[in-house]
Amino acid sequence: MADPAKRPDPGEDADPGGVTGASGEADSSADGGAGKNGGSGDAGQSVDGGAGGEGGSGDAGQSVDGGGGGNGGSGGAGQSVDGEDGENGGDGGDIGSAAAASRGPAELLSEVRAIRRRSRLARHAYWFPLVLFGLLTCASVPFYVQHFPSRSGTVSGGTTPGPQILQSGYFGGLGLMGAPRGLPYYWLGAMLLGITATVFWYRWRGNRIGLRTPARGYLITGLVVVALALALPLVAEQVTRVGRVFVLPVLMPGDLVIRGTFPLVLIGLGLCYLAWAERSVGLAIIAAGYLALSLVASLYDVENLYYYAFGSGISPAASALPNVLLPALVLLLSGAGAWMVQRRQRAPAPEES
Amino acid sequence: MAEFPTNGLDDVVHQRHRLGILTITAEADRAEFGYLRDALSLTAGNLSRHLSVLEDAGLVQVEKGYKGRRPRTWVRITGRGRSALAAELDVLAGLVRLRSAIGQRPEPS
Repeated sequence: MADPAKRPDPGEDADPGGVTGASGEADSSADGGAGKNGGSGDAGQSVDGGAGGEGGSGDAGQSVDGGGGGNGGSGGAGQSVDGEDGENGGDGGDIGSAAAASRGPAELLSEVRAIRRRSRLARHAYWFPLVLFGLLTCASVPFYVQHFPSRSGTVSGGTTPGPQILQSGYFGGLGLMGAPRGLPYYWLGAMLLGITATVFWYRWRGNRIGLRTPARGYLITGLVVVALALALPLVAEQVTRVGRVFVLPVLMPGDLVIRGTFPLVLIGLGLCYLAWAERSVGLAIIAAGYLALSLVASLYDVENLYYYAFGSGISPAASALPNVLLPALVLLLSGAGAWMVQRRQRAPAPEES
Repeated sequence: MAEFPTNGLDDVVHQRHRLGILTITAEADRAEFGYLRDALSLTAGNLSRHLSVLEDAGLVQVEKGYKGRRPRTWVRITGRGRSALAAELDVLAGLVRLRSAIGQRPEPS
């Protein structure tokens, strides 16, 4: 099974019948010996194939080492799975049966692994969501610039105007002093845009290469997570405690939402889902690293790291920015790196002279 | 007496190219006919026949549609197809283990 990129001339498939026939003949000849010599042997039940020499027989496909040499070949019942193959090993409708029989299980398994690896590589397209969410995070920067004293004249973060559902601390950033109040609106829109654009990207690309990544699950999961992020604070407000447990600290553990960077955690969770959908180890590593970083940014002032590193702080107005810019930088750099790697992997191999 | 591992091989799935088709479709939501043909180095006619076998066995679903004026055929693995593929790979892995176990046995004098 060849790499599609290296296939010399797909156009030759224009004549399926003829080509099929030709292939079939080749197989027939390959199997012919076995069919004629075959007879009986029931090599199928022998572990080492029992295929070599004249014992040969019909069912090399049942042998552990796939039949092996001599006229052991195939052409027997094992290969006539469609009922299409004749005594001589087929009419070509089932080409590859002989080849399958002559391949040992180890070889077949390694072939399956190679196909799987190529399919996964072909499907990998995660540079786009990385770059997209990196840019969306960068675009959120104006919402994190704080003013001291705040524009409202108070030192509190205040509440967001508009529907109560957007008072959610998950999208909000209750602790940002005098920052523009549109943060929850921005993140709600950005999340919906990011999720939808990612799904369209995978759909478009799947149509283009002929192999679709299951993105519907990402869409559903993303929308459910966004809905939960909006609804849970309201639930916590209504149901203050269940038994002896207070609901609010469980659903909205203080520091996790106070810096307004919880959407970054949601993005990280989404990337983890994509890593699973793409079966990509690379994206899984990026997503895990990013998720850890976004948790740090939510639970700790990254500005402090700057202070420890350079001995001076950042201006108060910009003190919340490192919490956002560092994760954004990780997304953008990872996305750019992934784009280059994926581009190189898909580039056709140079012709051998 | 324990059943010989090869008895677990499904003839429909065991065929090399059909195994390839199931492997690719199990990796993706859907695979397009042209992708399968190129990835497996098959002719269109051959791929069609293999797909018919798999479809008849209920292991894949074939959906035909259009993209603009171009007809496109998408192949999707079914739940049964996934199970059959997993079972086949298990049997193959078992055979490999069996063979390596036999290979380690001392030669009879």
